[in-house]
Amino acid sequence: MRSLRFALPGAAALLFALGLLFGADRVAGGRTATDTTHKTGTLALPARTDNAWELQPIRLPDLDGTQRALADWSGKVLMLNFWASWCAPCQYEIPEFVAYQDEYAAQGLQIIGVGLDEARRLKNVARTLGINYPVMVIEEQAGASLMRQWGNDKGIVPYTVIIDRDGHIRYIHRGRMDKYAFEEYVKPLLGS
Amino acid sequence: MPPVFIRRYFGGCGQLLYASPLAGPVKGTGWMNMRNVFLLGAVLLLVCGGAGAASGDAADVSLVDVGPYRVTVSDLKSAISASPFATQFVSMDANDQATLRGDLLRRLVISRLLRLEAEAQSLDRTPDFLKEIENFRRGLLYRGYMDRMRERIALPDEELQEIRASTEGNADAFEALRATRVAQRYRAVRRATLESLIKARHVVVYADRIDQKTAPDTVLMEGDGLRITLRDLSEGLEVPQHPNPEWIREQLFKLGELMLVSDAAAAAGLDVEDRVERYRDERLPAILLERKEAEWVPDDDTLKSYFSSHPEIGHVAERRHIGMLVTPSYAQANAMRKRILNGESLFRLAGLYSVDPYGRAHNGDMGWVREGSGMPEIEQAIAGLQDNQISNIVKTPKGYNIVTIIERKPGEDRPLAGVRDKVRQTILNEKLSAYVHGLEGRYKVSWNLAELPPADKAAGQ
Repeated sequence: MRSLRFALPGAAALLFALGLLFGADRVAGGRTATDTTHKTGTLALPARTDNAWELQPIRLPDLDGTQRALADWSGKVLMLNFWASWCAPCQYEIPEFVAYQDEYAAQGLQIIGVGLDEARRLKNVARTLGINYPVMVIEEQAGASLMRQWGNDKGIVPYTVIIDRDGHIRYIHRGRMDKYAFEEYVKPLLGS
Repeated sequence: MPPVFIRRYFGGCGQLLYASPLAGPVKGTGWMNMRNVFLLGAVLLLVCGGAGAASGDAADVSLVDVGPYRVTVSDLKSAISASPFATQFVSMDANDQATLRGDLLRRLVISRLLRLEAEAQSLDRTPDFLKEIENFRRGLLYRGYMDRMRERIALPDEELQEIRASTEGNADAFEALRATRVAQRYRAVRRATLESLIKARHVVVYADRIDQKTAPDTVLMEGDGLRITLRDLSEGLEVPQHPNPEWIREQLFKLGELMLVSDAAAAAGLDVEDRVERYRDERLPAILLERKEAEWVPDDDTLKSYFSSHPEIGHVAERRHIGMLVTPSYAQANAMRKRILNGESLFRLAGLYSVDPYGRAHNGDMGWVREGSGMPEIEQAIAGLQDNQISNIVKTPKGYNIVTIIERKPGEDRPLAGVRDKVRQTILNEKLSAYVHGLEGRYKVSWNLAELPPADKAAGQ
C-alpha cells in the first residue's frame, strides 16, 4: 500500500495538538498550567470589623519570655503570620519573610510571627532559619481559638493577615504566601 | 581547617552544626541502620547552618573529597531536604541537628565511594545506563524549556485591571481568574511554539503505518535530525502485545514533542548538566548495590543458612505493660510504697506525686515496654516480679522508682518465614559495612573538617 505522507504543519500539527490533550505534562513531569498555589481569603471576621485594633488585643510572650502586644507595632504595615514548627509550608515561606523584613523594614514593614507550639521548638526554628522579626508564642489549643477571632475558623497554618498602618485589615492569606501575593497586596501599602 | 574558616562559610553565628563522622564505618552494621547514627557523633564542629545560611560560594565549599568527587555544603543541604527528617530538622535542638548532619554526611561519602566503584566496574558505560541518562537529560531540557515559557507569560496591566474590576475585591476570585487567563495564554504559546518547531524541522508523521501489525522498526515520524520508530516508543514502557493504534499515536506525540522541545532547549543553551551529574550520583550507587545484593543474597538457601546460625533474629522479647511511680527521695518512696501495700492505688498516687513528667501525665501508666529495653536498674528489679506485684524501691537517675507489671505478652521464637526480610536486611547490612570499609581503603577520602573544643564548651556559646 502506498504510504500517505501528510505535509506539516497541516495534519501533523493537528496530531500534535491532539497530543497536547493527552497530557504531555506527564512527559515533562511538571506542574500543570492551571495549578495555582494561591489560597487567598476574603475579610470575614466574626467581630464584624476590618480594624485590627477593634479586635481583642493580642498579648503574648515572645521567644525570650518577654510579654509583647501586637499594638507595640501599631503605625507600621504588619504581616501577622500564624505558623507552627511542624508545618512544612510555614518553613518554605519563612525564609522569604526574613528577606522581606530585611528589605522593607525601612519602608515600614513589620512582620510578626505567632508560633503555635512549644517555645523551645519555635526557638530552634528561629535559630535555624535566621528569623529576624519578633515571634510571639502561644500554646496550640489557645492558638486555634485566637486564630478564630482573626477569621481562621479552620485553624489553617500558615495564615497571614496584612494590617495597614491605620489598623485596617487589607488582606488575609491562607496557606503559603508567595512572592506574587506580597507584591500584589503588601508592597502597595509600604512607603517608597 | 580551623573552626573560624568553617564559621565563615556557614554564616558565622557560632552554633553546633555537625556531629562529625570522622571515624570509619561502625563494624558489623550497615549504613541504613539508624541506630548507628548516634554512634557517629564523637567530635562536634563549631559552625552555623540552616536553610538560609549558606549561599553563593559557601554552598560550593567541599566538606569531604572522595577521590575526584566532592561532598559540598549544597549536597548536604539537599540531603537534609530530601530526608524523612526534613520538616522536623529546623525545630531540632542544635546537638540533634549536628548528629543528623553528621550521619547524612557519612551517607553521602559512602554514596560517592559506591559511585567510584561503579565507574571502576564500567557500570556507567552500559547501553542501558547511557540510555537512561539520555532520557533523563531530555526530560530536564523539556521541563526547563516549558517552565521558562510559562514564567515569561505576564498579563498586561489593562487586563489585570479588568480582572480586578470584575471580581470586585474578592481575592480568591481574582486569583482564580488571573490563573485561568495565564493558563489560556500558556496553552496558546505552547501550541504556537510546537508548530514552529515542527515546521523548522520538516517533521513528517506516517499516520498510515500505525496499526496493530506495525513492525518494531517501522519509522513513524521523521524530520531533520529526528527519526522515531515503534521500538523507540516502547523503551521503558509496558507495551501491549498488539498495540492499539491509539496507544501508538499517543506515545508518538509525546515522544515527538519531547524530542523537538528538548533539542530546542539544548540549542537555546539551557544547561542541565549539574542535575544530570546529581542523577549519576544517585543512580550509579543504586545500580551497584542492586548487583551486590544479588551477589550477597543469591537465593533462599543463603537466608536459611544464616538463620540457622543466628536463630536469635527470630526471637521476639516479652512485652510488659508497666506502671511506675517516681519520687525524689528514698523516704518519700518508702512512704508511698507502704500506702500502696496498704491498698492505695499506685496509679492514683503516680498521677498526684510522680516526678516523672510522662508518668505523672499518664497516671503512672508507662505503656508497653519490651524486655531488655528499659533502664538496667528497672529491668533487674522486675525480672522476677509477678503480675500486679509491687517492686522494691529502685534508684535510677530519674529518682526512686516503684514499679509494677500490669499484664504481659509472652515472647516467642519466630520461624524463618516470619522474619525473612529481617534476615535478608541483616545479611545485607553486614556485607555492606565490610564492603564500604574495603572501598575506603581503595579510594582516597579527605575530610575537610577540623576537630574543635569539647562539645560542652562549644555548646555553651
